[in-house]
Amino acid sequence: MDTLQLVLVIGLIAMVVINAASLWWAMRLNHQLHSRPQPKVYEVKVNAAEVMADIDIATVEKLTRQQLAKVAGEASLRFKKSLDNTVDQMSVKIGDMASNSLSGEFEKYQISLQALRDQSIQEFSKLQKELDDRRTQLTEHLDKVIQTEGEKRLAALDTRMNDVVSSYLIESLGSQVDLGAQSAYIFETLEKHKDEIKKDILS
Amino acid sequence: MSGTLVHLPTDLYSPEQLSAVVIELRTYIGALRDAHVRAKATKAEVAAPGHMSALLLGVFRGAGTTATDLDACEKLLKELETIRDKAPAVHLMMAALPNRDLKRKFTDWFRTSVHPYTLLTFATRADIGGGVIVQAGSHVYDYSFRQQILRNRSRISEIYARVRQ
Repeated sequence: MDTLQLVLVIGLIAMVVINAASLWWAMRLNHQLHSRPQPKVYEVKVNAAEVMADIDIATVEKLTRQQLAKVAGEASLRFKKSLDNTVDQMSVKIGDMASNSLSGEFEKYQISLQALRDQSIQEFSKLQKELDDRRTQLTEHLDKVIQTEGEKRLAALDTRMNDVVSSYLIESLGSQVDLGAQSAYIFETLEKHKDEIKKDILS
Repeated sequence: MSGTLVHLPTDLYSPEQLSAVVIELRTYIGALRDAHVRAKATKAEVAAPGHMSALLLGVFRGAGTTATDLDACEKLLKELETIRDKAPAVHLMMAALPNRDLKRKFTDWFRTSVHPYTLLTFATRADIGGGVIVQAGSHVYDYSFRQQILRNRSRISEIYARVRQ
């Protein structure tokens, strides 16, 4: 048996002792309570039939009913009036609250809407400006491209036309050679370039 | 070469002609040498040996050399050989071959304006239309109509635009 088991056994014995003491104490208190002197009860019996007559009882009942109906009617009227007032006040209050709340919200909504509109206008203005700038740039670029392309095509046409005319001239000259007629031009040209020819030959 | 007195005839314009003249003159000198030996043996006058071409005759005339003077002929031969080796050659291209007169004019012009011993060769190129292409050494001077037209090709459109207005 180890220490834990020993402690548990001792604890169990202590609990049994405590329970036994508690039961003894409870029994003692119960015995003291039953041993006290009991109070005396006196019975009084009144016979109603002997206090009032039958007619009076009916009248009282009738009057009582009338009074009760009257009071109930008055209470009903007061309650209805009070209820109407309450309903009206509540309606007014609810209306005011709704009005205040809605007007505040609407005002906030209007402010937000205005801000949103201003922002949108700014954005649209910016976008419009960018679009205008871009359109201007594109238009200028397109104009340049068109102009360049036009010039290029005109130059190509000129070149082509020049080639055609040159070829025609050369072919025409080639078939009608007259060196005698050309000799003046040839000697004039040679004379014009005499110095460079001479320089090249003598170098 | 500039100190020589030889004057090339205008009909002798090409290196081939000059080479032919040199060969002919060399043959002529050989025959003249034989004629001299024969004349010395027979104690007769030296007779000019046989026929000579018009070009050689022109060379003799141009140089002022007597055809029977052997030393002068040998000196002329040396000068012609020097001219053949050193004279500037110019190649001319035209749309058609020039006639003799035009060749003479070209020869005269080059020998007067450029160098007195200029030798010329002529060739044709049908696609140049007219004018002349001068090839001297490594340089080519294109004065042909074709080149002129191509060089001023851009003016055709100007002229066309002017005419259209």
